[in-house]
Amino acid sequence: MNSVAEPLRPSSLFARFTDWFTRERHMTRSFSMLRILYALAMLSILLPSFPDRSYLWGPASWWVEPEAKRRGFITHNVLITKSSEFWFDISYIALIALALLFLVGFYTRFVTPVLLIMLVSLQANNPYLLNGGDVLMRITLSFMLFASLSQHYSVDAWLRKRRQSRAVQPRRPLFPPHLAHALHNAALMLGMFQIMLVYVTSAIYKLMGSEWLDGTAFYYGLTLDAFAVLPMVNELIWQSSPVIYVSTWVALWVQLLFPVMLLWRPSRITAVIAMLFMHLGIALLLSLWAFSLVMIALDLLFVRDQSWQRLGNRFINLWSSIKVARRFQQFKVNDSNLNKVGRTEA
Amino acid sequence: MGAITVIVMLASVLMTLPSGTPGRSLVAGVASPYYSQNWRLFAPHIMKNNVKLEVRAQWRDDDGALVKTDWMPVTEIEQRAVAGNPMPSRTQKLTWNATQAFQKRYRALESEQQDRARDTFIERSPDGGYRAISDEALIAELGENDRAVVRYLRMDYMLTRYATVFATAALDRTVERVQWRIVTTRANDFTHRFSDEQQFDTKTTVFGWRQATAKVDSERVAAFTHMIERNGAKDELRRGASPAQ
Repeated sequence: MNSVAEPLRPSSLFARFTDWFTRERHMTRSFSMLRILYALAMLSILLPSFPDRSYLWGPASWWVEPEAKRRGFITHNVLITKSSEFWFDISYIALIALALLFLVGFYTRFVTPVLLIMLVSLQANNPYLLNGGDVLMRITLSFMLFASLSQHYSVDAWLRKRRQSRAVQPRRPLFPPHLAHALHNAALMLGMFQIMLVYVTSAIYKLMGSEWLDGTAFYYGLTLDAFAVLPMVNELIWQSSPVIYVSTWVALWVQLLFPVMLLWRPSRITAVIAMLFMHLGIALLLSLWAFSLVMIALDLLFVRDQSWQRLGNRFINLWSSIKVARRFQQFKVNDSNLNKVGRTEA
Repeated sequence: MGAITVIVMLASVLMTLPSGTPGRSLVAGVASPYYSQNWRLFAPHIMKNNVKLEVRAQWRDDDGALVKTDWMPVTEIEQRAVAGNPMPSRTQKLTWNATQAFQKRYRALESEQQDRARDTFIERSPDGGYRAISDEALIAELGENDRAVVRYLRMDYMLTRYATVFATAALDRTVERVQWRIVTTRANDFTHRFSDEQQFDTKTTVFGWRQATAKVDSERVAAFTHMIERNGAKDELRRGASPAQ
C-alpha cells in the first residue's frame, strides 16, 4: 500500500519533475524537426509571394497604414520599411536568407532571434494577411528561442561533430548545463501546452456550431473560393457523404480529446497521426501550407527521441533491403545474360 | 523557471476565454499585440459565404465629361492565383480579408448610419467643382462620439485609397472618383448540394462614390499593375475601361 503511494507523494512528484526538468534536454529530435518545418512554413509564404511582395507588405501596401499603425507593434515599419522599394527588397531577401539558414541549422542560436524579429516585422506591415498559422508561429517561435533547435539534422550538429573529432577544445557554454536544460524543457512544455490550447479551445468553439456536430462542416470549407486550389477535386470529395462526415467528426473529436489521448501511448500515436493527416489535407486542399506545417511541427513535439530513432532505423533498414533486392535483381540479370552467352557459344 | 512557465500557460488560457472573464482584459492588454491569440478556427460556425470586392471608377474625357467604367472584380482577380496552384501567393487573401473587416465595421453601424455610408462622400466645392466631404463633416453627420463611426470611416478611407490605386493601375489613367460594392455568394447547403437550383441569391451591397484623393505614386501603381498582369486580367480590365455607357 505504502509502496504504491510513495511515488505519488507531492514531494517525490516534485523531485521527479525537477529531475526531468534539469537533467537533460528532452525531445531534441522533435525540436530539430520543428526547426525544419518552421523554415519550410516561412518559405511557403515568402517564395510564392515574392513577385507580389510590394503589393502585400511593401510600399504598395501603404493603404493599410491607418490600421497597421494602430496594432501597437513597435516593429512596424522599422526593419521592413514601406518607404523605400530598395530597402524593402533588401530586407525581404534577408528574411528569405535567414529562413534558409534556419532550415539548414547554421548558427541557429544567433539566427533564431533575428529571424523572429524580422518575421514579426513583416507580419506587422499588413494585418489583413495574417491567419492563425502566422500567429501561432510568432508565439511559439518566441518560446523556441530558449530551446536547442539544431542538435540534429543541421549544419551546427555537423560542425560540432567535426570539432569534436579534431579534438578542439569545446567552447564554454553560455549557461550552466542544468539551467540550459531547464530553459529547453520549459520551451518544450510551452510548445506542447500551446498546441493543446489551440486544439481544445477551437474544438469547444466548434461544439457551439451546428455544422460541426451534424458532420457537414468540411463540405462548407470545400465550397470557399479563397481556398479552392483544385475546385474539381473539392467537388469530387464533397460528392461522398461518408468522407465529409468522417473527416468532420475526426477533426472535431480528436482536437477536443487531444490532451486526454496523449496520456496513453496507442491513443497518443493515433492522435498525432490523425492530426498529421488532417493538416496535410488542409495544406493540400485549402492551400494553407504555413498553418499546416506549423501545426504538424508542434504535433511532432510529442514524439520521443527513441521513437524518432526507431523510425529512422526502420527507414534505413527498408532502404538497405531495397538495395539488397536491387543487387539481387542485377545478379539475376547477369545470370540470364550468362545463359544467353552460353547459348550463342553452343 | 517552472513558475514562469506555469504563469505563461495560465495567461494564455485566460486570453482564449470569452471576453468578460475577470482578468482577461488585463492579461490581453499586456500580451497585445505580440501574444494576442484567438483560436476560433472555422468555429463556431464555419464560413459559408464567398465575399468579393468589386471596384469601379470615373474619369474625365477630353470634353470634361465624367466617364464611368464597368465593375472590376478585384478579389476574383486576386484569387485567380489559387486555382490549380498548390502553393499560391498570399495575394488571394488580401482584399478577401480586408473586405470582411470592412463589412464588420459597416455592420456595427445603426441602420440610418449605414444608409449614409452607402451614399456619396462627395460634395460641391465653392469653386463649382467637386471635393471630398471632410472627415469632420462626415462625423458630424453620422454621429459624434461614436467609436463605431470613426472605426468605419477609417476603414472606408483605407478602401478609398486601395480602390483609387487599383483603378489607376487597371485603367492606366488618372481617375477622379471611385466606388466599390461587396458581392456575396453562397453555395447550396449540404443537403441540397447536388441540386442545380441555387438556394441562395447573390447579395450585393453598393457603397457610394468617393473622391479619389489618395496620393497616386508611380511605384505603388506599378506594383498593382504587376499583380493584375500576373493574374492575366490586364486586357479585360482595359477593355472595360472603354466608355461603356
